[in-house]
Amino acid sequence: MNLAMPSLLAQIPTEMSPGTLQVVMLTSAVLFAVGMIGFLTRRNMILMFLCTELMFQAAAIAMIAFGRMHLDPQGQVFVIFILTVAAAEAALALGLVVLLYRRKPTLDAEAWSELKEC
Amino acid sequence: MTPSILYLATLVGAIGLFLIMRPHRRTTRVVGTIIGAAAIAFLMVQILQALADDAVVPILEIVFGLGAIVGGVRMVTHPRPVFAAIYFVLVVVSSAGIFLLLGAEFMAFSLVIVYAGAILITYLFVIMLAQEATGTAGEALYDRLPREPIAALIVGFVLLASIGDALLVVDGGIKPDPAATPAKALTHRWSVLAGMPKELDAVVAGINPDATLVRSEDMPTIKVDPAGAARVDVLIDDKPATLELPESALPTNSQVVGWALVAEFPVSLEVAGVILLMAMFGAVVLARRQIDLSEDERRVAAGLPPLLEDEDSEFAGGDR
Repeated sequence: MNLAMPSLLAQIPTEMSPGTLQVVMLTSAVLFAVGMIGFLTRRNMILMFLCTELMFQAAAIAMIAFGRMHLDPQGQVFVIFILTVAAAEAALALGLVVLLYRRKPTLDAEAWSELKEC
Repeated sequence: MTPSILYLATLVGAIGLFLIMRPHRRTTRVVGTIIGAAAIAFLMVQILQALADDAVVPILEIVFGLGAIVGGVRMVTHPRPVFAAIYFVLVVVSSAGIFLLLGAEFMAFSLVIVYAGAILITYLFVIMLAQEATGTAGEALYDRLPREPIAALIVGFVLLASIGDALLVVDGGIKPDPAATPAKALTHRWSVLAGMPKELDAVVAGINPDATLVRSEDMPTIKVDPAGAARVDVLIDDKPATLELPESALPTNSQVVGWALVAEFPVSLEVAGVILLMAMFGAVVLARRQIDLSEDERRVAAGLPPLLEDEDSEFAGGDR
C-alpha cells in the first residue's frame, strides 16, 4: 500500500482516488444516519434541531465529494445554498423554541404532544 | 464489499449505538463505544482492502471522518445539551478538514466561520438561556432518557444499510467520474480567468509589460494544449505573438466558486437572498406575536377585559 500523502491546497486539479471518495461517502452516510437517529431519540427541542444540522452537515460533505468526483465547482456552490438554508432554519427554529419555552418553561418535546392527533 | 458484510457491520454499529444510549451506565457505554468503533473500523478496512495495491491510502480522510463520526455520536447521546452543541463543533471542524482535503478551501473556511462561528453560537446561546432560567443543577430527565431508541435505531439501520448499499456495494462501490479528466477541469479553470478581463490583463502585464491582449468579440481566448500549458494571443509592438501563462495565474478555488455562483447560478443566488430575508421576517413575526400575547395577559392581570380573546372564542363557538 502507498502511504504517500497528496499535497494539500494543490492548484492543479488532479484525479480523485476511489478510496478517498468511498471513505468520505461512508462518513457522510454514517453522519446522516446518526443525525436521523438523534432526531428521533432526543427529547430536547433544541437538540432535535441540532440533529437536523448534523444531517445538513452530512449532505454538505456528500456534495463536496460529488463535486470533487466530477472535478466541478457546482458541488461547492450547492454547499453555499445548504449553509443558507441551515442559517434560515436555525433562526426560525430557535425563535420558535424560545416562543414555546415562554409558554411552558420546559424544552421537552413531549410537553407539546397534545398537538398530535392521537 | 458484499452486502452481507455491510449489513452485519451496520447492525453491529446500531447495537453499539444502542448501548451508548443507555443512560448512566458507564460500563455499557464503554462496551458500546468499543463495538461501534469496531464496526466503523471494519467498514473502513473493507473499503481499503478493495483498493488496488499501489493506491494511496486516504489517512487524513479517515482521521477526519472518524473525528466527525465520534463527534456526531457523542452529540446524539450526550445527556448535557451544552456538551452536545460543543461536540457538534467537533463535527464541523472535522468536516472542514475533509473539505480542505477535497480541495474546497473556500467552503472549508466559510463552514468554520458561518457554522461554528455563527449558527452554533446561536444554539449555545439559546441552550444557556433556557438552562439558566430552569436553574437546576445537573441534566433534566428528558435529556437523559432517549425516546423510543429501538425504533429509531431500526430506522437508522435500514437507512444506513440502503445508503451504504448504493454507495459501497453496487458496481463495486462508487468511483470517480472517468469523464472528469484533469485536462477538462484545467480548461474550465482557465476559462474562469478568461471571464475576468482585468485579472487577465494584470497577469499579461506582469509577464510582459509591452504586451496587449487580442480580444475577439471582447472575450480573450485562452488555449489549453493537452500537456496543460495555457497560451493567450497578444500583440507585442503591434506584432502578433503568443504568451504562455504561468501556473501561478490559475484561478484559485474561491475565484472558481465565486465565478460559478455569479455566472452560472445568479437566480439561485437571488433566491438564497430571498430565503434569508424571509427567515428574518419570520423571526421578527414570531417575536412580535409574543409581545402581543404578553400585552393581552397584562390587561387580564390588571382587571381589564382582554382585547381579542372573547370575540374570538364567541365567534369560534357560535359558528363552528
